[in-house]
Amino acid sequence: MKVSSELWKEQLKEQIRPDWAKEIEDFETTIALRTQNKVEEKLFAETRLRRGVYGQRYDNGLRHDGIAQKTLNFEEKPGKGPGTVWDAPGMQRIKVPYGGLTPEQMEVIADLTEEYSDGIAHVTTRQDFQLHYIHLEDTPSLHRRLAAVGITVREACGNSVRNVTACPYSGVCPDEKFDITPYAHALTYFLLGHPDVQDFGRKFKPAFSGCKNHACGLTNMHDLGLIATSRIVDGKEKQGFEIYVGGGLGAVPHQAKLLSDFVPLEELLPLTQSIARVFARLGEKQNRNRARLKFLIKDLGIEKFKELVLEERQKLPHDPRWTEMIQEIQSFQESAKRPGGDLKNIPDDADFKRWLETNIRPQRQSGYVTVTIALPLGDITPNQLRELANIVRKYTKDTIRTSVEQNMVLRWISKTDLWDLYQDLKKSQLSQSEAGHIMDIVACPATDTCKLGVASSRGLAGELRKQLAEKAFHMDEAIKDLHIKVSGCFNSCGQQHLADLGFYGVGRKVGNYMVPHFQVVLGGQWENNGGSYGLPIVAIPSKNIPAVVDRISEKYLKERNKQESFQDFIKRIGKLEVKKSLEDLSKAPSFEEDPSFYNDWGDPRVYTTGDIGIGECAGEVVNLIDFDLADAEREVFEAQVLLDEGKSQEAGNKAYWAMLHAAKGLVKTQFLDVKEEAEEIIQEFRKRFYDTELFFDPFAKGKFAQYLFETHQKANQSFNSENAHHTIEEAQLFIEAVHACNLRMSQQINQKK
Amino acid sequence: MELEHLNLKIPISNPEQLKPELWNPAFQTWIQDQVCEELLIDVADYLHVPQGPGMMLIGLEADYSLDHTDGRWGLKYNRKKTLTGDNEKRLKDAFKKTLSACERLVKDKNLKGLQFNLKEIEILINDRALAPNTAENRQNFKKELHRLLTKVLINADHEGVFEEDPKKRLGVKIKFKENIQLK
Ligand code: SF4
Repeated sequence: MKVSSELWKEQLKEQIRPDWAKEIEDFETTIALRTQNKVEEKLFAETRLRRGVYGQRYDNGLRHDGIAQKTLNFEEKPGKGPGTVWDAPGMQRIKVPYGGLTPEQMEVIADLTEEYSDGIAHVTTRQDFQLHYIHLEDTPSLHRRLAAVGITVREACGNSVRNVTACPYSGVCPDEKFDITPYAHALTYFLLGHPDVQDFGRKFKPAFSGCKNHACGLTNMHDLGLIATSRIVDGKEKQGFEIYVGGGLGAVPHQAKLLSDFVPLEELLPLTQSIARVFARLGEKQNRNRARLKFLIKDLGIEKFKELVLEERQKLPHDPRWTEMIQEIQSFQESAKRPGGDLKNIPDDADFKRWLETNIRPQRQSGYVTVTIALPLGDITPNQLRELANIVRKYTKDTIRTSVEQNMVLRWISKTDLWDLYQDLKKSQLSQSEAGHIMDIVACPATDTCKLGVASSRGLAGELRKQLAEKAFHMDEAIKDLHIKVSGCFNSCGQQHLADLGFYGVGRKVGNYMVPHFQVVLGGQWENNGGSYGLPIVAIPSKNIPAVVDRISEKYLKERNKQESFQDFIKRIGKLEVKKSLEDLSKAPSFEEDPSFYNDWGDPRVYTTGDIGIGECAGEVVNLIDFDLADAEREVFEAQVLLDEGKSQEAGNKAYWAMLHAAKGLVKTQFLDVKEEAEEIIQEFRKRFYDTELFFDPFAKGKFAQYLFETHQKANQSFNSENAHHTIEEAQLFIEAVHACNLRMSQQINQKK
Repeated sequence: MELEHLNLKIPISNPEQLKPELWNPAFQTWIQDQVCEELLIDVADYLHVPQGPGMMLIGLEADYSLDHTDGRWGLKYNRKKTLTGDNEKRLKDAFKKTLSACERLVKDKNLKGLQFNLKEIEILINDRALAPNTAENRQNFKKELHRLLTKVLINADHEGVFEEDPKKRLGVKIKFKENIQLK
């Protein structure tokens, strides 16, 4: 811990809101009490999570160093959560409501990054900042320094209302209905610490969008999506919101459902409060895998949910803050610092011209534009942040926004300033072009720091950036416009379901080794606020993914119809065709032929826990299960093709049987004579793998088995396109879990030998 | 003035031959062998960030990195955990750790040809509350460093250029007449 924590406490005491200061002090006391074992471990974990203090990879005190799994010799102390070592470094998430920052706040984040973390501030896909490798006992100082410039980390993680996100162009976008910034601000501070949002079974993510057709707000994938709209009432235009609920990516993505097509502004806060109350009262609390709002809505149906919300609304005691915020709107009106105008005499500089093409967007205010600062993998250094703070001061009235594409956006830039601004950004190495284009890849932290990462999404994204940059000069514009998004596991923090080309990490056993793979996800739509979700079509070894990008994009270029979009092209040729074209890339060479396939990108360690020797007896059953798993994967893919053809019923049934066949494969490792009957497969699987917890994953526990059991319970259900889509996702995840279970069993056999 | 949380950076004298990605496997072997007194945890690769922290070996008490801040490659030692003892002990300890890290890297067969410029070093205090970068503190730091370097190094003749931007950390770039050698 830094020696200066008392100094900060003293220095900043007059600069922090008293209620925030008290919260930080309480947290500091709780840390002290935990060191004396006076606070229960799980409770402490939730307490720190609610202050954005998150666990990080290896914080269980174990790390595979490429040769063997080793214990990291941290001092023995009470844990900071179940299986979490006190001194192991962790992550601090900094909530940035609607991504809005001032230069002063940027400078503080820069200072904290230097003094407490590894020297990189990371912008997330929900407009937050994350700092890594932070020591728990330093976090109260961080919180104080942030609070002194108006940032609270309260409810940045945990089962709470997460950062309220919003399009970074709000207030200046030519397509918006109105500026949603004041409403995002109001909702943030209305819900922060509100008693009605303290008893959720899981997190709750709100998002605002100024229009329906662009992707900036991604309202479709949020628990609460709010889209600015208007209607004519008594001959006058009245502003309000279209409200969507129950969206989410995660393991099985759900599109949000329309709750109301028009909610007047003054009803925004009370209606949200009612939604929160219903979620807190009826949402699942025990089984966290079914605790998001999307599951409650799925169970109740949107109509019933709406009825309950409206009933709740009637009962709510009046709160003056519901309308007070509308009076504060004027204080959020941003304006220009410098006179607008046109960029005349564009200098003959190819990089500048390209930057103008890709990083500049028109504003609805003439003479002004927005400028996107493309951050490589969302990373920025403290020096860059400080220099950018000065740029913000020079060209704007002290505002900048982070974006869900892990970039930063300057607004109200006079076109006359573009060349000077470009020069200033260039000095700080922040003038990279290609914002929102194929090279501007979104990636979650994954194996770099995330405890759940299966494969290195940042390593892959870094490699793709490098390779694509080399080809950029000759690249066709149609390819440059594609979006790539990568997650390190199925949890979708990298939003791969919304990309043209999405990838998420999975592990596969090849011979006696594990090989990092990525599922290729196709069919997602970034536009229309994340209008449709893609599905995984095939797992490819990580080292072959750059070739996958090349092959699919070349195919698109060669075979597309005139003006055909990428999504339409994929739809027309079908996923089967794409899958076939990738077949040769789906196999990893043997370790002897090419050992590089057995390391992850940017990580020279052998990917597995070393040789997984298999005895002859085990070898036979392991081979059998490999066949069964291959069959199951084929079936789940066929289910997708059926779904694309509009045959929802057959698709759902096929996915259900894919799950059964994967389960059967696992059962056969213990009981070869299991019959091809659903009931028997379920019974045997439950007895041998679920009740014994053999199937349980260390993090997800029995979650994926529940997918199988629930689908089986509804075996005679009729499938529509939505529930068939979900069943396919669940089948894919169940099969992944069978792969993982098979691997764990092999490892255990190996350890026993 | 307490010299806690010291950062030392020794520049690489032949950066044109540097292959930064090879530092990853080098640091991984340090973790495998736990070569330092400090607990070594993980490697973080930030080579994609221009003038960033480069390739980092994250430890519990200290980090080591192939740092590229300010566009200059060098080995950086960042002491995170507080050290008991006086300033002399702290500075000597930081020098010792930094120099032995340089030595280990130079001996690494995979980094063949790597050379450090041992006539230069950058020293800063990574804590703005403890050591705000004010004119007064720069004077105090200058005096204290002069006193300590004479005690810690065999030949401490040097010239220093202090960081004057108050928003940056209190620090100095030092040039010695001779290669740095601990007493
Ligand atoms: S998608 Fe998975 S690996 Fe990536 S950050 Fe989320 S949980 Fe971690």
